Amino acid sequence: MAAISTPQTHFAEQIDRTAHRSEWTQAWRRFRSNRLALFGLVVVILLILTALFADLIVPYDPIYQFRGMRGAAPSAEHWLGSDYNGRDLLSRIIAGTQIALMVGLGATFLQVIIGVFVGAAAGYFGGWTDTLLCRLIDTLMSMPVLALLTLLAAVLRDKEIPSVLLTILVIGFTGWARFARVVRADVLSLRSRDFVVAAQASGVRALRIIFYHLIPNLVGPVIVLASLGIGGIIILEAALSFLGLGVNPPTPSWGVILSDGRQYITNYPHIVTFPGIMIVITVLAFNFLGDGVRDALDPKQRAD
Amino acid sequence: MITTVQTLRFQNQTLMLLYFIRRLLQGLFIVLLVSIITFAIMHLLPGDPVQLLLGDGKIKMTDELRAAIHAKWGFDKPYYEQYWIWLMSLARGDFGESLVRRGVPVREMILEAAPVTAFLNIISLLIAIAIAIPAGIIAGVRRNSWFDYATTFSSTLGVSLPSFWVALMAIIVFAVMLGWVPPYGLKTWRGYILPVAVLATEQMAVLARVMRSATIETLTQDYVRTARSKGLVERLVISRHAVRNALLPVVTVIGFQVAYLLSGTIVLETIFALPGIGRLFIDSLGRLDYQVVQSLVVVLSALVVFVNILTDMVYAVVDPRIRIE
Repeated sequence: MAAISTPQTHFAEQIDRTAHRSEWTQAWRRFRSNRLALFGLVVVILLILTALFADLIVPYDPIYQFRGMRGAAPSAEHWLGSDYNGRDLLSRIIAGTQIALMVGLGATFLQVIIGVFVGAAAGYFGGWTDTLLCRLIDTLMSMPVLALLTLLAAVLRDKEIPSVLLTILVIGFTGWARFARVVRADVLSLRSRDFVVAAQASGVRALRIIFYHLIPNLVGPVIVLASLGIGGIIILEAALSFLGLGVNPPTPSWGVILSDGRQYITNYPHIVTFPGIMIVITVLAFNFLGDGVRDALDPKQRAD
Repeated sequence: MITTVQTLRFQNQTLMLLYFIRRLLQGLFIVLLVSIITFAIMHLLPGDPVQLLLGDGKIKMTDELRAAIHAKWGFDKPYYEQYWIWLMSLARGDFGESLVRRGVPVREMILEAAPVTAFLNIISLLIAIAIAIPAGIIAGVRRNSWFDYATTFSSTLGVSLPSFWVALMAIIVFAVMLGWVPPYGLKTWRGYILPVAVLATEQMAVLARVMRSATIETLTQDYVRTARSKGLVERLVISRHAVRNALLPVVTVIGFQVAYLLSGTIVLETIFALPGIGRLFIDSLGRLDYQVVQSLVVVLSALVVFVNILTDMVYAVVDPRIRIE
């Protein structure tokens, strides 16, 4: 470059370039420059595609039991081998992607809806509503997650609800406290800002203020929290199903495959190895993605 | 002058005491809410425990007899009365008797199982702290060194590993293939090795992460710059000024971790067949043993609340800045 670039012109160029960009475009640029986050995003997209087209990808029917294939080791026909009932493990793991993502995304969605609503109500109305909702949040946060989950799952088991939906509901209804806590704190600080006071002064109803003025301002922190939480929820689903309180067999959830394989761990260790690796890959991808989203949306709070 | 200092100190102590009392009352209220939620959930349970106790209808009995058994356990009373009776006996430390292991007081069952769980959790927490805190500090101080990358990588991996799968893998490698430790049970003390290691790994990942970012955070503070500019040796800057402040958020995280720790034990005790609280919980849930399950949830939550209050107190004592609020 022959042109002389003094610090001033360089700065002016920078300002010129960034001025037109919206906050979201800037966030996307920050996200894009983070290699781990991009890697996470790619893996997550691949997983979503796998889940969407699982029926087309699976080499065999995931619940068909091949004769004489009990616990068969990986081979050319069955890449990951077979489980104790002679079912193709690769097909089961692929089909399990559907369950994992459905529960991970579904339960997160439910947690966000409940958490944002409760948090916004507590922060906006204050007073008794706030005190009561805060105690409820504290209570949910001090019950050991798994104890509460297993309890609810056990109670609601024999009701006429499909087990996948039940798992989503149970995780969704017990895990929203984190969202409520963050949203409440943010609403508290937003409540006294000019645009809210102006809206109140011009007689806008409380619900409208919450939905049109407050919640749009909370999208960033909520997305960060949600994307960081998905991995944990996928682990929870696997743990619940592993304990026999989540997804019902023979539906091939990763937790179910692990729990099936656990009984034959001494003879056929490959059965419990592969679904676990799949869980780790999925959770890692979502965590990388979540870390990237946090760094992109909230540069102040970077962990490093 | 002296009197002013004394008055200030006195005021400070009073504030602390008030703060403590307020936190304690809040904690009590939370435990009360937990008990209500638990009681409500338990009474939605499908199936009649009396029915189950008698072999699911295999043992024939008259309706009068069934009603008498219901009356003995208080199942015929309205829900609010059952709750009140339960709450009152809880307050006296009487958790009732197990419905399934007839005549065995729940308190005895809990006390039998508690040492296993307590040992498991305390030892793994101590090991995790002993390894993760120094690792986090070194990683934070030597940012972008190979040690930092290794620590960050392992803690990211550790957070993403489901502990129950790590447990299964550990059983395959160390018990089945190498035969160094028993795969499950507590016939010898070596039965503790695998569960403690797995639980500690999980804790380590979280603690090292927090310690690292807290160290990095404090190193940018003004007081660290002051300490450096007055010519203090770097070693002392880190140990006296940075680390002591960086430990504060870690204390909070350790407090929070207790709830997760207890969740982790539920799965691990089931996998390793350890006779602790977690296994008692899952077993009782399967057997519809109302009394044990509801008592355990309340006891565990009370424990979490208590530990959280304790951490807050430690925090308030160590960090004078938050006392005034």
